[in-house]
Amino acid sequence: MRQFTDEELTAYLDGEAEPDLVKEIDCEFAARPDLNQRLRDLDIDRDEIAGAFHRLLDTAPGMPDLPEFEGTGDAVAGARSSGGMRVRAIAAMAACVALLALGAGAGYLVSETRNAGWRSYVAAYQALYVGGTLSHLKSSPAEQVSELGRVSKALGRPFDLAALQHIEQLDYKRAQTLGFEGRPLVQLAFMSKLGAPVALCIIRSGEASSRDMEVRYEMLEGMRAAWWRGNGFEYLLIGGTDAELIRTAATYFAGVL
Amino acid sequence: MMREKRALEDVRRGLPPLFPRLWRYCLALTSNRERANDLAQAACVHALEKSKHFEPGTHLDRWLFRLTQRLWLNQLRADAVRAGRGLLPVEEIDLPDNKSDPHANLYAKQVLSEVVGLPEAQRVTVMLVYVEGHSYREAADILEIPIGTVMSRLAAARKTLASRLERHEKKLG
Repeated sequence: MRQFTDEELTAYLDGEAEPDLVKEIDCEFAARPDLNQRLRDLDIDRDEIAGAFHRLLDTAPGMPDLPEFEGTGDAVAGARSSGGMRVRAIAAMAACVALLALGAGAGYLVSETRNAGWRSYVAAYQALYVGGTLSHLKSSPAEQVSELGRVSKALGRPFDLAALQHIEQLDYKRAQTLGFEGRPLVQLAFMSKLGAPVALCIIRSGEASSRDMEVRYEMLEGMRAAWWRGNGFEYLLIGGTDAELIRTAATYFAGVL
Repeated sequence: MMREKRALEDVRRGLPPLFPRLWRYCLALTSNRERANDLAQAACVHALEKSKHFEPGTHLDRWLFRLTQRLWLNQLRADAVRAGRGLLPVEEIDLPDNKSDPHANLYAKQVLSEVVGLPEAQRVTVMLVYVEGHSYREAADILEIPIGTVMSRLAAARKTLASRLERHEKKLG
């Protein structure tokens, strides 16, 4: 009496078994209650599964706007300043977004994460931005004000559109709320005139006793960055390699926000 | 050159109708809507970038799923693990209600929840074979694993699902 494996029985149930195996199982089925029971233990309704997942299609998001690629894949790759890294960057963006938005609340972020600090996460996320990430965004002032209203509410502090549009070399694009360790983190995204994505990220200070801090400058993930603390919030301005632009913008934002 | 242009065009045109299925596949990979959204978007961009590797006239869905699978395994998931954060927990994934049959709703939600709750390797194999309708061979090609592994995963998934769904059915009466 042959002992069939679960894999063989599964293939049998799925109609994927070889004819000889099918014949063998069919022959023994009637005479062997144990075989009958094992098949029952593997029995599922495939239609139920397919049906449940089919309904999921109704909840799929719309197709996102994609960058306009011209020419072939080679041309696409060649057009990138950072070559192969770009592919990795786009891919990793998803992880960063998800981790920023969801990771902390899930309880998976342990002390290692806290030590790394929110700036390093933002920098990793920002490193994945390229011109095409933001260049297609065109919102009316009314939409931008409304968007700022939403993020203001999430963070608990107001934002003034005019202030965000003040720096001539920075084109304000959008605002979105992310999250870090259960705290809302607002990202205000800009494009520099030279096409570099720049972000101003703001999070409420983790420690109530945090003192205000003057603007400090650093390089994060190969980008120019400035960070400071004021009125219970921490700020990080990051993007591109233009030190002068980051300095000018940070000085201005630290003064008005 | 002509072939590459045609491949790019095929990919570009093929993505919108495939997108809901791609997103659903991403949901099976990530078990989390937010991450599925991001992965699906990243996969679309990646597909355009890699379009020269697509053979016009072949199955775009299989090619796209394989590419998405690689993207997830080689980069996104690995990044999370490397960063010491582990993987995010499975999210409760809800379905729109079918108003005419609340009992069927409840059961469909349970089915979905049990499948999504399977280990990732099993979950994604179940998705390809039982939802997308691929043969074992096709699923093995997409996942780039031996066909025997597809069988093992499905056998394990079947055992878990059969037991859990039977329990749920009994509970529902």
